[in-house]
Amino acid sequence: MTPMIETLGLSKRFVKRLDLAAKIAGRLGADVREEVVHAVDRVDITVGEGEVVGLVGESGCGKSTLGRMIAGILPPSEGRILFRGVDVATMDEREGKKAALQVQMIFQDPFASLNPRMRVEDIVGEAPIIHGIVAPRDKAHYVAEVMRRVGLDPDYRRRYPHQFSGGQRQRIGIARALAVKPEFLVCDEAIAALDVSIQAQILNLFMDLKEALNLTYLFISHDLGVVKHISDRVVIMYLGRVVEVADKEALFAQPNHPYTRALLNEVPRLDLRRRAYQPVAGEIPSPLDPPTGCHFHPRCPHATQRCRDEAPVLKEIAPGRLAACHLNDGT
Amino acid sequence: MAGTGPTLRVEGLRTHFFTNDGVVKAVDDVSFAVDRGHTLGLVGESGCGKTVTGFSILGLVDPPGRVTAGRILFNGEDLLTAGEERLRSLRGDRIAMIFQDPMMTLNPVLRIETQMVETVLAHQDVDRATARRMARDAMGKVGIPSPDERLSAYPHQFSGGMRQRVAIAIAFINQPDLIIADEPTTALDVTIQGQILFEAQKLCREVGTALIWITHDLAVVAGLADRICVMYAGRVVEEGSLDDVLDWPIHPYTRGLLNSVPSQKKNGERLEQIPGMTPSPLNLPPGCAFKTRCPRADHVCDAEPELREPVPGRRIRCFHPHARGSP
Amino acid sequence: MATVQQQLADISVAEAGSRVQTPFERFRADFFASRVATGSLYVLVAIILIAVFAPVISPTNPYDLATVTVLDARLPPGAKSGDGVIFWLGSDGAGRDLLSSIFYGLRISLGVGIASGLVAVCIGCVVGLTAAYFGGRTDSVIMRIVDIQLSFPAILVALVLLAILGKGVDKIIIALVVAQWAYYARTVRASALVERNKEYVEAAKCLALGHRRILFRHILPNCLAPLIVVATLQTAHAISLEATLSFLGVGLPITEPSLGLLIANGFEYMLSEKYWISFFPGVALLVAIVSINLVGDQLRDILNPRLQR
Repeated sequence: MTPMIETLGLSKRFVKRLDLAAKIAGRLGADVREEVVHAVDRVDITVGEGEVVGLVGESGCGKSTLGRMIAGILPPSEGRILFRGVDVATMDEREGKKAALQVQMIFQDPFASLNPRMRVEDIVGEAPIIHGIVAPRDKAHYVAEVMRRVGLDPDYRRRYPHQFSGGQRQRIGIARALAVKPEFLVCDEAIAALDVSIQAQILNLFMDLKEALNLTYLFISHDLGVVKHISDRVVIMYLGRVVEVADKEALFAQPNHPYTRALLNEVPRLDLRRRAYQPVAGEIPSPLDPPTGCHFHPRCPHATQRCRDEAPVLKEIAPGRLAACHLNDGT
Repeated sequence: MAGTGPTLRVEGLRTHFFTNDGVVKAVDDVSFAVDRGHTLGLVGESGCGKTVTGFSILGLVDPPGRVTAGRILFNGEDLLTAGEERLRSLRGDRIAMIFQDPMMTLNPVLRIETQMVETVLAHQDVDRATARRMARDAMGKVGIPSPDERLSAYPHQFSGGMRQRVAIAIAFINQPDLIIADEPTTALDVTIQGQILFEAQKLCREVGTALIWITHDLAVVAGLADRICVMYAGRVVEEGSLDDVLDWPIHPYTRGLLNSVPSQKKNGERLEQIPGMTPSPLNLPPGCAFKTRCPRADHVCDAEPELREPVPGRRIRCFHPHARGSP
Repeated sequence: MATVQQQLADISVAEAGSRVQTPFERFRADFFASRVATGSLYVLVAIILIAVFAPVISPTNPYDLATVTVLDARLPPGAKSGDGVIFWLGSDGAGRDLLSSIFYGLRISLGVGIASGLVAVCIGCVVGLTAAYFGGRTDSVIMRIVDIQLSFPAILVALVLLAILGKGVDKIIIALVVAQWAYYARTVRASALVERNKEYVEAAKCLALGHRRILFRHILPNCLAPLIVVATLQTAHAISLEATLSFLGVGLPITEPSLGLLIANGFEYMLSEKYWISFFPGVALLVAIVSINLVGDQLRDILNPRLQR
């Protein structure tokens, strides 16, 4: 059946153009170049209805940028996004707006993600009224209902964000997203900034909401423990490219790509006591200047000449498992 | 110096902040000890007082806060009565601190070399060339490639992980007896965090430095520490050896915390959550601070629990601890 | 240590359920914490009231040609006029009561300063927001215009404009607006750039809210803090600029003298013992400007986002 969200060759480049002064300097012989960051590089992922896909990677891997493109906040440089099989770029204004409301985002920073000068009832109630989802006279009632659903006391709806704790603010952010009745939520490190015990509360909330409202999630996180808990499938990204996709169980039991293996090895775990760390060598390269060929080759213990020259393609190595590594070709 | 007794023993530490809104008891009766070459994990969520504890040990608490009670015995010497001169001679030399943000250690307008040489010359009677050599060796020890070139760089020319490594190099350069690390890897990526933990472990083993690792991340502590100390609302609520506390947590808060972390056992099921939020330190309930969120609380908990030691090496502050071995 | 103070601030804020202070109540409490600022605010309010009610509270109407006579000219402070009215601050070269002249002069000075400020703020806001929000070429073009405008001294711009436009209250307001709008545009643009990248603006985009709504309902209210500070301090600057222009004889006609013109009128008498004709208008101008500046300073301190909780 048609996946809910599908990206085809999706790329995002951030270009720092040269201004007039720099152009002149360039003509005079100075070494100035346009800086291009390939934040996301030809990514194909699908998210099926009712699925939770965990998107994992470290800084510079492009997961947040990818999330923002899917949520409609950033326009892609290249590639297509299909919502229920229809290319969003080809939708007319009415359809496009409807699709935009169906895909909502939950942000990482509970402090910066709420407008400090708006009351909660306005933060949650603004969009539904503007888009005609609810009549202005029903606003108070509707906002109260949404707040209850996320575990907030509706009596607090006339307060300002600064009067709430981090966990409560995150709930307000979730309420704001739910108020426009979305089908798909992109959670961008939605619990990373919270305390451990509050993380558990919000994670449980996400799981409850999924059941109750039949939601689909793209859960972006660097925390493999959390991803393992909530996801059905996992996508691993490194420096703008997808390196591995697999069902959760398969990925954690038998990681294929060397980066996935290193990542799983590095993650501190409660049951691994007083371990001797064997770190991956090298720094995460800068997206301004990525390595040639396979982005991971400078840090990969198994790198070959081919890895330096040729970028590996994401291929199916087993039913439902994809990986981008030349080492798979040998077998 | 070393060998007799723990490197650091904190007894009954209380640090209060006297603000316009009231007295914030950021640290309210904290006691623990760290032996030479050992690592103590100081664990708790935001607002529990772990950072203020670290600052109190180094005498870095500014008004309106001050240490109101307790003893901080560093190699037998009470730091609270030592005076500012003595503390200044100890800081950077015998006791060092690593902060969450490496830019709290690194001066953005000084070259790395300048700063490291300065740290050495302030505490050791060597000439400049020797100090430079020590700086170069320290950089090499924390795994920074081409240390000679990188010495003359500025902090902004390093990545976040590298900066933290430089901060660690500065902390270790005078081979201190004690290092307090306040969430140094929280802002770093997993693979870089692994590197930092590796370096810290290695250096502590080589030099015999006692390490206090302050964090909210139980998994990091699990991989690193010998003993663990759990804090809540300014108090130590549980302390013991790492395996003992993580395998048999007896304080309801510790148990709740461990249950909140997704792990093998609870795949896909709802996590057990601790209801409610940490109370504001301006408004702590009388008696046990955890009682408003504790499933085992009753009227007995209206009195303030003391820190007891039911078994040598294991301490607990609770009227209703779980029995060891109970589910 | 900064981080500990920050943590403290975070902790004491996370108290949902207690003392519901609106942002305005907080602001008010912070402002009146400083006695200097409170005093300055009272003085400023007094000055504004004087300016508004000048016709009512002045002992005489200094521009009523019927009552003003040159026989009362250059009387020292405290002297009586021919009609028996006491000239508390003396009289000027044409026989006008200085106290009344100052009241009316404050009216003109403040009126011109505030009116031009308000118009400049509106223009600056729209320009700054547009530049920040749309970025790219729009931003470059707008900011180059702003930069060029700001590279000319304000007084030069005003002088040139007034030379072209002639005298009159409306003309001087236009000149002051043109001399000032660029500061506001730059300030608003700077704040808007910061706010634009914040996640709540991204959330608004995600919720498919239109550009205009995002600009005026989301971004602008969060840019007000630095804008208020700049507006207050700039108003003082505008008042002093207007005084300078009037002193130089440009801008306002003699029939509507501002404090600057009053000072100019008395200039010839400065060294011949009749100091009061320039002195008292000068003091009035000084008090007005200083009180505005002190209020502006306090606003800047309390609206500092770093201290904002």
